[in-house]
Amino acid sequence: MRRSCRFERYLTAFADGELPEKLNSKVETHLARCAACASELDSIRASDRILKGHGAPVVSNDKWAQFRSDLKLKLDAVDRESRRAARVREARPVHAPVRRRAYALAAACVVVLLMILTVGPLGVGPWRGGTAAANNECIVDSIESLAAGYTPMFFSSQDPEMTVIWVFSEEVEGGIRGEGPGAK
Amino acid sequence: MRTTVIGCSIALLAMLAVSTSVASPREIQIDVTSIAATTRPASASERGKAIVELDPQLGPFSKNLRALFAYDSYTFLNKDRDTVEFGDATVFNLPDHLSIEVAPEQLGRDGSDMIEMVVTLFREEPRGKGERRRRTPEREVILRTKIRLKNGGTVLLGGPPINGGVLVLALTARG
Repeated sequence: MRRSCRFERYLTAFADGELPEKLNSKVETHLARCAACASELDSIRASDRILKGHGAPVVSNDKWAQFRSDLKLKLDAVDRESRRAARVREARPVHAPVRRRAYALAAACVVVLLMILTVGPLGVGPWRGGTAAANNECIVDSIESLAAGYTPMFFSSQDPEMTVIWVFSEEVEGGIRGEGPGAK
Repeated sequence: MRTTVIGCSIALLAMLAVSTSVASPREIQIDVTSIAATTRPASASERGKAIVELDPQLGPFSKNLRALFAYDSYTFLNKDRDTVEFGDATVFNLPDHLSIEVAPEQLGRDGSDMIEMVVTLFREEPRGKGERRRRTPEREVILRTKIRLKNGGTVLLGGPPINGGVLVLALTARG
């Protein structure tokens, strides 16, 4: 691979006489001792001569009209694409949806927590007192009295729902009476 | 998106933690309302009429007392509240040397919402004259019962004589 010379980039402008005077003289000095750059300059000048010999191509009006139409279509397509991208950016700002979703999630969590605090999860919890007060279901697994003169018993009522555990005392009742506590 | 997923996960875990801690409480709250029920001699004008004197403070229990018992008068004596851990016991002092001990054992066995507890009603034995002072008074067990009460529900206990009437207790447990 040929190692490029640092003056190579000035050769086209040198051939066209477009370099400033100071740089132009430096390139001239360099060309006197650099065969590669001199050869490259010869190639550039040869290309220029060929191009100048042929002149500019003649383009018909139809070709120009076709070219303009194609160019307009392509530019319109580029514009449409740019506008679509801008609309998407406008509709979906970077942080807004995430923030909105976070707010919605936080609100949902607050609602669920309030529900838990109000009625309790699965109907269990200390907050249940208000609603469960009417439900007095009670199962008596065992009942006994270890003192003389007392006889324990229990009964349940459906309306109102209540279980009564009673210990009959000989002192008060004179024994068990069939009609229940306090019967006259 | 990742933030939302992480936030959602944290919120769900927090809710799960709250639910778990609430679903399996370590302690329950016990309310004991003491009521004196008495029967008075019926006068000629009252005979045959169901006139029941009910203390206004017994409002929440008035329907139960009227429906379940046949006493003429119900007087509110006291209301006590205590919190007790499962496996432990709490004692409420009652009139006439009576006391009630509530020992909750567990809540929600077999997935039910019932509080399992042992309730014991004691009466201090009266000491005879000249009897030496005991360091701990002897108590006789008037009633011992093991019950499963609906969480937040109330059970009525009663029967021991006090001041010419009988003692009725409304015991409410909430876990």
